[in-house]
Amino acid sequence: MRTFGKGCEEFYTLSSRKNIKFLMFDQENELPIITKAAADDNCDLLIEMNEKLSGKTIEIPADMVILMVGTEAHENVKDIAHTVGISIDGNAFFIEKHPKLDPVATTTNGVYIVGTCQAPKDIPDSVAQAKAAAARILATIAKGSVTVEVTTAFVNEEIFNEEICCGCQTCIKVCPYTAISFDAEKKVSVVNEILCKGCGTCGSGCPTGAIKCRHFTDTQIISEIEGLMSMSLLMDAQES
Amino acid sequence: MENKPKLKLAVYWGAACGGCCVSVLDVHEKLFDVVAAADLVFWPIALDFKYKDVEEMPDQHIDVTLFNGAVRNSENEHMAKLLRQKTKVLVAYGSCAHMGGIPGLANFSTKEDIFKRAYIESESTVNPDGILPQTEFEVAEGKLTLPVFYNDVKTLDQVVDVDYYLPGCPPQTERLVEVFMAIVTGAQLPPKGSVVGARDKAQCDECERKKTDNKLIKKFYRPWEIYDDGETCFLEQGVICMGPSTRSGCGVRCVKGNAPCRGCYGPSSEARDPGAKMMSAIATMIDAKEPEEVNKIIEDIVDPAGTFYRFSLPGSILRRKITN
Amino acid sequence: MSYKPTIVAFLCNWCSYTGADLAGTSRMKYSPNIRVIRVMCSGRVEPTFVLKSFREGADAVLICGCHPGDCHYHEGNYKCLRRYELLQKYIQQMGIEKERLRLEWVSASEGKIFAELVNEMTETVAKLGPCTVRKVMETIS
Repeated sequence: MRTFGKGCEEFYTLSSRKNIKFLMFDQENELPIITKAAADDNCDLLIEMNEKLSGKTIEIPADMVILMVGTEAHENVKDIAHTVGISIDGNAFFIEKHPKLDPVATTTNGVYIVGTCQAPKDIPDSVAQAKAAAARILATIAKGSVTVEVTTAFVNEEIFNEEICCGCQTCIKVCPYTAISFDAEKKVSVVNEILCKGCGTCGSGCPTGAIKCRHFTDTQIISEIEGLMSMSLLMDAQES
Repeated sequence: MENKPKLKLAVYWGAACGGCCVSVLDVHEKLFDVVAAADLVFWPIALDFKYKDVEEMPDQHIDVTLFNGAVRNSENEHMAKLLRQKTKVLVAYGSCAHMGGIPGLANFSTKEDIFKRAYIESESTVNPDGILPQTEFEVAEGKLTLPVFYNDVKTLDQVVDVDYYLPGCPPQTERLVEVFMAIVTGAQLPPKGSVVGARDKAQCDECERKKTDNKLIKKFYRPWEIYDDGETCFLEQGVICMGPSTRSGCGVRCVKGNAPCRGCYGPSSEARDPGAKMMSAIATMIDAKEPEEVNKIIEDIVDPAGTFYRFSLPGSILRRKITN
Repeated sequence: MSYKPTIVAFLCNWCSYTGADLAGTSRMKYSPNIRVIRVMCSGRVEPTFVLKSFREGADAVLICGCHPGDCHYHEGNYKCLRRYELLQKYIQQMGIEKERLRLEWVSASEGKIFAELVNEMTETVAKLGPCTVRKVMETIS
């Protein structure tokens, strides 16, 4: 048996001295079966299992069986994820920005994940991650300023002296970062450009064309299309 | 104002239903203001003028022409070109002249198909010899001619240079009077090519229905399939409403009458294609992630082309159905 | 001279564009018929862009994004999927064959898949022949 982590080997030795035995069952074969013991068995329960190392089926008498319950994510994680604009994985745990290069940050600036909301883990790991997150936050604060995306979206204003946004609010649920809110007084949508990551989905979803995506505006992309196609036609003409 | 020379006004119709001309008539008692400021020099639906009267006018003789209707045949095109030559300010009046309008839906079929349906196949037709309209026909008195029916319906600006667009099916008479009075009083006109008599902001701005950000659609309904509560945004009830991508100016008439907006006023100046933006927005609202689920929801949008381009097919990027 | 289709491709910055880059850096050979336009996310691709491509003479349009669940922006690719399905229905009504518009998921590591996709699509579109949208528009006006 090889244990995981610093100090765990000592923990294992101590446990062994206290007569705790660790057995591994063969996952590919049947799972251990727990049955109520017969009256003359001198115990309450019997566990029948395939012991992997010996390859034999063994029976263990027990007075009590404690099952380790798997860690599950909280049921409202989806709401939390949507509210703060971060992703969840298939098991409904939050996903970090990058498992190796940015393990405590998320895709939303200013939101960090620590502990078992990310994955099942023990106390030392959670504490270590919390310290990492604190350091990461301090590093951001110490810098004094935050660099935001340049390719952000914005709601177009002042065309013919009139904001074009009609306040239909289609864009608000479209934004994965909750960067768009509704200004009830002016009856228009407003993009918080600090939260915006510049995916441009709102620009495509806007029915009026009021939302513009910097560096990827309709005009720019359509000019690209025209340019590419005129090149193609030119090349065709030259060949034929 | 008395000393000012009166404006010369013309109204003409191409491929149109006549509703636009009626909307001009709907000025009612304001008509006195209009005729006080302008002389109607040409208006086939109301006044007896002949084409040759227009032909004899010097160039730029007419101050303002309201051209309604799309360009569907050679006569429409001839008159559009003639009026352009005789007019200082040519206004594309109504959805048909602006974007192609309802007649523009003919671009889903071809001239041959239309003739076949109208003159041979339709249930009320008795035409055993299969005779189709001829552009020229010899009779004892001489040659009779008919305009050439084109394969494609065109917007006015696909045929001649247009100064302003006044959208709507038909345009609201109040907007017409406003625009007309602006011209008469000599107010500064917007740059050439502008849409007048409508705002750049879409219908939602004026719509009084309750709107939230909860535009997630699990199923699309046609208006007759649901009990509209009369208060909630149509889109939030799953009914396709073109309001968010349609200019306001009509006073949200359809929605006030509990019918979803169908988009006759056309999109804002920021849209390059009249239907694509709304198509994109509607698709965005679909609340599903699996392709099968998405397709099942889209199945209820029976006729996307007819829904999103009801008034604007000839003025759209693709303009017509591609047939080989 | 055999007919060479022109395919306009919209590739998302994080997965597909990087995937296409990988195909290039791995020196994979694939049909040169593709004209790539980079967008930050497949969710930025609007029906207008696709229609405009056809109008300008493209024989086919390819949209590539991250695999479902892998979108750099959480779910831009799902929005793209919805727009694609509706657009597909519209272009078929307008007489454009459905094979001329495709949405595929290509990750940053799938350079080979991207190269194969381009080859396969080029072949399919070549069989269909040129898209006549541009020609029809020229005859109208």
